This record gives sequence, structure tokens and C-alpha cells, in this order.
Amino acid sequence: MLTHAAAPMPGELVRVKILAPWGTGTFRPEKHPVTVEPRTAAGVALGIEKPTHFYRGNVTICDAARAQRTGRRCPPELLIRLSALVGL
Amino acid sequence: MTSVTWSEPLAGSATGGGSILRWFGLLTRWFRGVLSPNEVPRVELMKVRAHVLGAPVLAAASRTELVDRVDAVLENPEFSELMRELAPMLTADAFVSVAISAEDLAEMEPVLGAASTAIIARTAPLTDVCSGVIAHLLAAGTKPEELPADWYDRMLFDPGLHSTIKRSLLAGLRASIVMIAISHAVFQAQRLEPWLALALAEIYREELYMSARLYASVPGGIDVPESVIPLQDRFDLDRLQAEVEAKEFLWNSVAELAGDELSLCEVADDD
Repeated sequence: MLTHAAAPMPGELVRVKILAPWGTGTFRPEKHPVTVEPRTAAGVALGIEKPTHFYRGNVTICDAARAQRTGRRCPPELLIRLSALVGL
Repeated sequence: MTSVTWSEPLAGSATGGGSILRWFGLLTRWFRGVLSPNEVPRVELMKVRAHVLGAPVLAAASRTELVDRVDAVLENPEFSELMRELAPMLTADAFVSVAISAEDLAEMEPVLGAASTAIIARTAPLTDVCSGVIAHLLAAGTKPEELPADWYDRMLFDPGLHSTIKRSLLAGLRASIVMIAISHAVFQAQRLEPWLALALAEIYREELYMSARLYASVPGGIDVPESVIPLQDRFDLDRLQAEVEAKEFLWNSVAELAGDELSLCEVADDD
């Protein structure tokens, strides 16, 4: 059910694309990355073993089917910080 | 109060926090033996909930871990269930306010210590802001007990909601969870380590302030004194909404043009 219009409209899910910031082990402090440390809730959720840095311009857009779900939820703080990183 | 899409999570965040403070007031009256008989079962339920939700928070070994543990409670279905159970406490009688009373603070001091309790005492103007928001929402017909169970997830994953607004809504819930953890310590008569007591009090104050920034920013909402939330700390909600709509349009356009896949790289992996 699509709810973006004034009244709910029936619709069919055909394709889902995702916008995914991706992290790197390279640290460039001057670019103000969002950094995730391994032994934190966010680090465990991401399954990382070393500090991982997310930059505004490191983003992938692809079909949702290309993403491998881990079954782990992103902690809300990280989700919000990454959303802010890409301007959302 | 507002027609922006986040009016529902605003109601959830504000009334959730208010319910918890009402809960603490109930706890205080229980310790003093002044509860009515029909209120006692609610306190027994509270003890169980406080243990399930609060005990893991108090097991933190550092401030970083403390914040992680607070956020983990957000993911616990029992937390949202608790919010729904407590919601009627705001509407059972004519709503006046939610506040931490002197009696409540007296119950906190043995577990938090004087200094950390004083920090919580000084948040009174911020809880007044919360009271004002709740009164406004209730007067506008909001029924906290009828909020959809998934309002939190919908708020968190809504791409049309600015991250600053999400952060402020999250802050209200975090403050509630800290108060649940403190209530568990009170139930257990558990004197907390000074660093933990201080961290809880400071996080409570900071998160309450963050949520009050949002409440003070809603146009046509409640009147919040500048002494409580200075003008420079208030949000331009129209600008934030325009910002996120522009970015959403941009990313949707990029996605359309991207074809099957587009990967942008600003900083490559050195490894």
C-alpha cells in the first residue's frame, strides 16, 4: 500500500534500490568521517574487527537483492549519523 | 501542534518520557506506603519491567558501553510494550504535569549520591517543557495508548525525516530509559558506583535537553523560555524539512540514473 499520496493507493513492489554508505579502514580526519570502533555495539552490528570510517562520498546505490543481510540491526545512533552523513 | 509527518513519533517520544516520570512518582509513593490498593499491582509490574530493562543498563563498565546498553533497550520489545502500558497513566486523571518531586529525589539520593542527584534536580525546567508538550498533545486529542506499536521503527527508518529530528526524538526515549535504570537501582537499594551515577545523571540531562530543543522549535507549540532553550539552540524545522526533501530528491534522481549499480568512492581503502 502506497501512502505517499493524499489517500492510500494500492501498488506493487517491483524493484527496491538501496543507498548504502560503506566503510573503509583508511582514516582521513580532515574529511570528518563517521568512525565505528570494533568493540562497540555498532562495531559488533557491522561485524568489523578494526576501526572503520564512513565518508560522505563513499556510497553505493544498487538493487536491494545485491545486499547480503546480516540479520543484525544497526544501532540507532549509527543509523542516524550515517543518515546525516549522506544528507538525510 | 504540527502537520509534519513526525507528529506521531513526537507524541510517542514525549508521552513515553512523561509516563516514566509518572511511574517514578508512583514508585516514590510506594516506598512511602501511600499507594492506593489498586495501584500496588502496577508497582509489582514495574519492578519486573525495571529489572528486565534497567539491570542490563546498570551492568555497563564504561560510559561508552552505557550509551550502547541504553540504546539496546530501545530494541527490546518490552520497552515499547512498557510505554503502551504506562500511557494511560497520563490520561487517567486530568493531566497537570509530570515532574520529579522532592520526594522522588530523596529516593534517588541513596543510589546516585548527592552530586548526581543534584544534576537531575536541575533538569526541572526541562521536564516542565516535556509537561507542556504532553498537555498540548493531549488537548489536541492525542491518545498515547493508541500510538501504533511500530512508531519507533517507522520514525527511525523514515528517509523523509531529518536526522536532527530523529536524534531529538531518540533523545526523549534515552532519557526515559535512564530513568528506568535509576528506578531499578532504587528498587534494589543499589548504591551505584560514582562514575556510573554521574554518567546516568549527565546522560539524562543531555538527552532531555536535546529533546527539549525539538519541543521548543515546533511553531505554534508551547512557549519555552529562552532561559531554558536559547534561540540559537532551536531548530528551523522548515529548513530541515526542505533540506531532507532536496536530498531525497537528489538521491532518488541519482538512483534512477545509476542503472543497475553505482558505487561512489571518496576515500579508497588503503589495505
